[in-house]
This record gives sequence, structure tokens and C-alpha cells, in this order.
Amino acid sequence: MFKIITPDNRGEYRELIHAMHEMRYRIVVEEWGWHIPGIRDGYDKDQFDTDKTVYVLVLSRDGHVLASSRLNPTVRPHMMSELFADYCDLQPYPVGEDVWECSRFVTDRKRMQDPVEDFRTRCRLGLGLTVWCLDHGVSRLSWLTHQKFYNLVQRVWSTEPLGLPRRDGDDWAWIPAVSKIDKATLDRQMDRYRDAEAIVAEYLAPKLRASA
Amino acid sequence: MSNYDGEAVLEAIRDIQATTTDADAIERLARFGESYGFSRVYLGQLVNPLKVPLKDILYLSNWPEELKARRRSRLAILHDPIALCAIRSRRPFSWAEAHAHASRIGRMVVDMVHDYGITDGMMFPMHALASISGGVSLGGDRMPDLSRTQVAELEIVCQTAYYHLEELMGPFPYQKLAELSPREAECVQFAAAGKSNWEIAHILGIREDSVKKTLQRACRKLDAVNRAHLVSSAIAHGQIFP
Repeated sequence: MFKIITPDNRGEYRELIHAMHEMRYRIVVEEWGWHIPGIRDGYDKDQFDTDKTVYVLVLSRDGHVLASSRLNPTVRPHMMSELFADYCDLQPYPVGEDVWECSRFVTDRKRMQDPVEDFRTRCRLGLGLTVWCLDHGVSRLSWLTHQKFYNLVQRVWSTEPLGLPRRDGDDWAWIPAVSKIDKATLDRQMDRYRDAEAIVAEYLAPKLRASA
Repeated sequence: MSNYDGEAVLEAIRDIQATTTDADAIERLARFGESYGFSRVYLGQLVNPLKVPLKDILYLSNWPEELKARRRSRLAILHDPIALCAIRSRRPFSWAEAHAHASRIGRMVVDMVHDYGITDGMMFPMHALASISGGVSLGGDRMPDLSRTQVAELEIVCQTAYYHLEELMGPFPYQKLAELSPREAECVQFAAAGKSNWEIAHILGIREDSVKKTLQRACRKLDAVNRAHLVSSAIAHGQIFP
């Protein structure tokens, strides 16, 4: 399953959001070694976790946060506009009501039983992103992708780089990119992952009932 | 980089993504490489040829046919110093950097390519989340003098071409996600942590005999001859965490 937390339903999920910030800190700071200025110890919440931010979470059966990602509107200050504008040397970063920025695509691999579950968890997170975008008229997602993640983004979504790969010394590169979100994206994801239909149905079912 | 013009890079990326045959994609990539001074392209997956039939591995190039055939041998693949270096490298590197660490057989592989006038070049490793996927090598009779920006331009176009071709020509047999069932993977994961069958049985709450049979089944699936071989194969195939 995945949960989508929007400004409208945030009040119901305060504990989950709290757990997500703690999980992100464990992975991003403690595991990946990122230095994020201005956050408090044990809690990754920065200036891009705003009252407009949408979160996609993947939960385990017992309710733990396995993975999370955040979406921010590009019509407001976002990471690309505030921190990485100079990375976009191939084409300008896109801005518009139908363009959102995805960041902090994080999975807690220590909670996974096996690599297949790890893979499926990322699938669910990706599907959650696509489904939310399709439901809300978002046609493009921009992101700063890790070199090892770019191929996945390229395969799953129709993706173009916004800039050249950037790296410090011999380290991994980061690539700013923009991906197209359309029905074909969802079809591709559903084709790719055998259990995708059930996941999407799980999310869409209550909506179908509501509109019937 | 305010007056930087990346139009040619974007054009190449869009052209490559629009190709529908491997020959077209390689031809477009080669044309892009030529503008930087490289006359040859070699694109291949980096997998253990002892585990995967050679016919199932993606290799594409505009090398001479005779060299292609000679390079496509288990010995050449296993000892190619550029491929070995790509597994560890997070960044593109020149062939000369890799040659410096070549074994005796590795130097023979290098000489084999040299014999066809392809003496210098650059390797762009392609890394995926859990392991390396492959690499794209651009070569010729000399190493052009490239700026960091030019290397980055080549890297992003090679990256696009590589994964476009994997998608176009796949899926490849070894890319199967799960050969082991969740229970088999679980048992192998504990075996990798040094647990005995008795210990695994107690941890999972199943009979010791079931653990033994599950591990035997996993051995058959991964063609492993003993417990150590099973664990190393499962890691190599991405079935358990290292």
C-alpha cells in the first residue's frame, strides 16, 4: 500500500509524518552522510517541507514507514530554483502549475526482508508519485537524481536531463532531470511490475466508490 | 557556465531516445563521439560470462567484425582491465588509467584491440542501484584532450544510449529479479550470516528439515555446489543483501 499525504489530510497523519522525518534522517544523514544545514538532530525536516508539500509514503503491514518521497510545486521556491539552478546547464528548469519537483526519494532498506521486497517498495513509491500526478493534472516532475538512480528514472518515466552530470572529485554524479508523466508512464510501470495492478487498484478503489 | 550551449547534447539525447533499432542508436552515438575525436564505440553489459551464456549478453559496437568476435570470448571479458576498472569506478576514466593495473592476460586483451588501431579511449561505467550494469567505451587512435565539461557531455549521452538500448533489446535473462522464493532468500540470507540449519529453523520457527530442503532447492536454482557457493551466487545474482 501507499499513503498520499496532502495539505488537506495532513492533520490525520501527524504521527506518520513525524516517523517519516525520523526515517529520512536515519537514511539521508546517518547512512548516506549528507550534511543538511539547519535541521535538528535525528529529524530531517528542512525549508522544502512546507505547508504545500505532498508526501508519498510506503508503509509496512504493521504501519512502519518503509519509504517516502516529497513533492513540491515549482511555482513556489523549490530545491531546483533555490539550490541547484546552476546545475541546469542544458535547459532551464521547468516551472508551472503542471510541474512539480520530487525530492527525498528514500527507502529504508534495513526494514526489507529481501531485495525483491526492496524493489517492490520502490515500485510502490514510484506508482504513488505517478498516480498522484495523474490525478492532479501534473504532467512533469523535476528532480535531482543520483547517477545510480538516473537509469531507473529514464526507464520508468520519459526523462531528459536538465543539466550535465556533476560530481565532487571521483564521487558519484548528480543529474538534474525532468520526466514526463502521462498515462503511458503508468502503463509502463504497471507492465513492469507484476503486482502493480493491485497496488493502483488499492489506491483508486475508494475513489471509484466515492464517484459511483 | 552562463553562456554554455548544450543544444548539441540535447539533440543527440533526443535523437537516440527516438531510435528504434540498435544499429541506429549506435550510429547516432558514434556520430556524437566523432565530434569529440573518438572513432569507435563499444557498449556492453558487465556480467560474469561464466554464469550467463555469451549470446545473452548485450554487446554492440562499430568495431571491425573480426575484433568483435575475438573480444567476445570468456577469457577476454573476464580479464579486460577496462571492464574490471569500471566495476569499481564511480566516474569515467581513460583507458590508460585502467591499463596501468592490467594483469598479464589483461595486457594481452589490450594488445588485441591495439592491433586494430584502437589504442586509446575513455570508459563510461553505467551503475544501477544495486550493482554495475555495464559500460560504454569510446576509442580511437589517440586520446583527445577533453575538458571536464566535454567529459560530462559524453557521459550523459552515453548513459542515455546505454539504458535506451538495454530497454530496446531486453529484457535480458539474467535481469530476472527473483529466482529464489521469499522463503529461500530468507534462509540463504541467514546462511550468509553464518547461521546453521538448526539456528535458522529456530529463528524462522520452522523445522530443521524444512530449512535443509529449502537450501537444497535454492542450490539447484542457482546451480551451487555447496553452502559457500550458494551464498556467493545469491549475492552475485542480487538475491540477498551482501
